[in-house]
Amino acid sequence: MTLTGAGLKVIEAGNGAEGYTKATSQPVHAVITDLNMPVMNGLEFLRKFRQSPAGKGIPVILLTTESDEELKRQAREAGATGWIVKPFKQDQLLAVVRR
Amino acid sequence: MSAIDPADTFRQEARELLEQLELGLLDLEQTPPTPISSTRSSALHTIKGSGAMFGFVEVAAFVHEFETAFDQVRKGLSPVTAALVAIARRQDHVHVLIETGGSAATAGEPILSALRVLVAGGEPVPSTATPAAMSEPAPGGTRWRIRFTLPDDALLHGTNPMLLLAEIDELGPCEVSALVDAVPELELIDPEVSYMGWQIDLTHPDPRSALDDVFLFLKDTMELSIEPLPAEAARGDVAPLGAVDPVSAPPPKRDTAGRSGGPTPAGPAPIAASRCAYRQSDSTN
Repeated sequence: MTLTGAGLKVIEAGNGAEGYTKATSQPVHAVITDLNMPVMNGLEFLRKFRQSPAGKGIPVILLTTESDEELKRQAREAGATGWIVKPFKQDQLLAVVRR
Repeated sequence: MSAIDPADTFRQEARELLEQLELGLLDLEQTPPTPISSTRSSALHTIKGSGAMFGFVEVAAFVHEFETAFDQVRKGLSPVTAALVAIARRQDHVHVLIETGGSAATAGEPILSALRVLVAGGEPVPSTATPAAMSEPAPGGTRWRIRFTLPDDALLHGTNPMLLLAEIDELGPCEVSALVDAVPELELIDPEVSYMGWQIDLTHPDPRSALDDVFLFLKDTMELSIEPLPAEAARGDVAPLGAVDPVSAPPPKRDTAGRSGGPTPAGPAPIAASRCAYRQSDSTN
């Protein structure tokens, strides 16, 4: 809602594997992914996406309830562009997406 | 295989964006006028940023004034009038600036003067478009030198340096220079590696907290120095690199494979303009 309300077209996926398929089968400008997801979690998705030609140079933002440094380190190594710690305000999400 | 000239790419992009902007003027002529869209602001910002990056400094400075003016209108600080729409149509002077390489910059000054008067409601608005003006410290502000180099994989992981520079641009008057000494010979360039660094001389009371936000996702892996500039530089001259405190030493030079090495010996190659002044020059001069 937040993103579509800002005029952005959003493609949704129910889990990491579905997200990977959708994000690599069509052009996307950015990816926002949860960390804890069924089938394929956010870090797995991220590693696989970055290995794909479609994932090069595309910003990927992780949504997470975690804020520990180790997780951020793992996310960075996996290729995360940034992260947002839940709960977050709508304008925080938009600010990060615009960035 | 013929190489694509980035300047040609910019010309093409600018032409398309100007067409969008011209179409958008029709919205302003409606009664009541359609509010200025973020698309217009974005198009102007793109022309300015890309123009500055590719050396079209006069284009960037010219467009900067229009962006500032429309920002005023968008915030409701200036009304949309027929006179404003008429002067907005003169933004097509950008075509001339692009084609003449900036030699028509003087011819654009009357357009900008009229724009300033209109936006100020009859009172001229001080211009911030000239690099000299932008180099002057703002009252109460301190000049800071920010130097940063992104991690090698920053581009690959979706970081756009131009957006980072745009955020710094929002903080205050600044002068941006590209640090290109670590860029290897063309045949050695890995297009997925970030080689460039940037130096920004920013006027701001204390930008460290704001820059913490700008580099939120990168600060643990990037090279960043933020130091107040000495007084002589704060008077308007950009301090030579040798005058910078060793603590704020330039980002390490990379070898021909793009990896970090010793300090960067040569000065920066300033590249571009907006509220920030960006310059184009050869660091080997």
